Amino acid sequence: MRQELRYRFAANVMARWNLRAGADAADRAGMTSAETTRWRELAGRLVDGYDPASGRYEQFAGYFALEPLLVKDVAVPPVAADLLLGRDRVARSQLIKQPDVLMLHHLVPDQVEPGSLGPNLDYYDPRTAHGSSLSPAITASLLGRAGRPDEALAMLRMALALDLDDLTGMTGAGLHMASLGGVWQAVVTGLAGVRVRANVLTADPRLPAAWDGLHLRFRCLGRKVRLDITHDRTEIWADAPLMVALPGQTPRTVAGAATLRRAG
Amino acid sequence: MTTIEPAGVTEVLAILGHDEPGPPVTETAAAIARLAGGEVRQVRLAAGLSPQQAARQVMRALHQPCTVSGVLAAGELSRPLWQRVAQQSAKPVVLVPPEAREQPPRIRRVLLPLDGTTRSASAVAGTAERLARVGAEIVVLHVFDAQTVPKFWNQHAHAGQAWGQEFLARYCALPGARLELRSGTAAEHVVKVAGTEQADMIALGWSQRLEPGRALVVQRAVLDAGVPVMLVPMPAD
Repeated sequence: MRQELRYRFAANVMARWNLRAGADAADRAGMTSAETTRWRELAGRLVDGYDPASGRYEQFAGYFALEPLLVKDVAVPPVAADLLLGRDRVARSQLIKQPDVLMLHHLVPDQVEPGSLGPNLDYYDPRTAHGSSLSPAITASLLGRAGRPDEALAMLRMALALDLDDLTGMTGAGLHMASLGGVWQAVVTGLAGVRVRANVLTADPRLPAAWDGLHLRFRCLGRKVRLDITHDRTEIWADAPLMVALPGQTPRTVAGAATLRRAG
Repeated sequence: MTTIEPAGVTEVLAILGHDEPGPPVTETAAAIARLAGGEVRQVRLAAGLSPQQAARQVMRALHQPCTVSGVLAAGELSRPLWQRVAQQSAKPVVLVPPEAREQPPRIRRVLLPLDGTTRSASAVAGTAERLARVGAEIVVLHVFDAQTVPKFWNQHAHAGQAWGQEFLARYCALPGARLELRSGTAAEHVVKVAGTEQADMIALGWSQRLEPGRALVVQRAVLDAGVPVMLVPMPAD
């Protein structure tokens, strides 16, 4: 088990997050002990494969030394590369169905190095076959967050077509609900850039050039929220007082309709 | 859709060269005739015919309304003949390799390679249904290659089962039909799986085009599978 954790860097990041979150929770509950101190020590010793020089995380120990096979050399993605090339061949190469490294940036963005999303998207996307039905939606979300909305839209369309156009060849067996959930996340957290931290809703919208606007309704912190986003303004409406902000701005309380403007 | 479904009196032609021994062509024709509920009629080609002349004689016989299929040897020497007949016939033609193992009286298991297009599935649907109705086991083979590989494949065990069920539902919805999936080159796997599954016959829809780069599966199956290959013409592109 320790061997596995040592070499699966994404697993290490998740373990580190859990150890620290557990220790924090114990602190809040007044249960700080030698054991929770030990959790933090262990968390600090877990290696995560991050290279500050390149800004990249390594998928797993030794990954960078594998055959530098790109998906464009094999097929047009999305493609189930395992079926085309065989599992062994794929395992010997840098080709990935869906990178753990990018999933980390999606699931626990606060647990990865600030500014590392772009370098890792640049590196891993050409190596990603997107053979997992979840991959296009998650990649769309990440591209949106990275300020690449037109690329995000291409992946979003792929995710949308997954069941609508039966890209899997087995929609008859049921819808791909995780992918549909991913589509929602790609729109809300990716293109609208919605995040909730410390009871503050922030929006950092990046609309694709092909879109005139984006209109969203969702619930956040118990409030009904509506966002009306165009290329030059973001309007928000909440049915009860809600702390909101654009990135880098001081949060303010909104009740009813308000317009969020970028500084400058 | 071309089938071996009979209309009235039914004949399966056993097409023999002037000095060609009957088996295995006659054995195969008998098995096909039993399948079609018909009889075997031998067509013995005259000596000294050119491939074009021999093909014309075969085509005249195949053209008869009561004829549902023709069976002929597919040796290297007879290639000019069987290629012409297979390319020109509107009815299924069964090619029997000279080294074919002894044909059982009844066709028990048929390998049905399908490329995942409705066109190829439609071509062999009637034949497959008839085979299944008389008790033959249908083993469908689909090979993943650069053109046919799925775009997505999640957890392997689940995806394989769900995808396979959907594939059979779309392309060969016959009770008891079984799907074999392989990755690689279709031509190679057709030969291999025909051997491992001990198929008595391979049934292939084909475009009747033999120019370079076309009908690779057909050519490989006829030359190397060691069992009779039924070629069912597909509608034009």
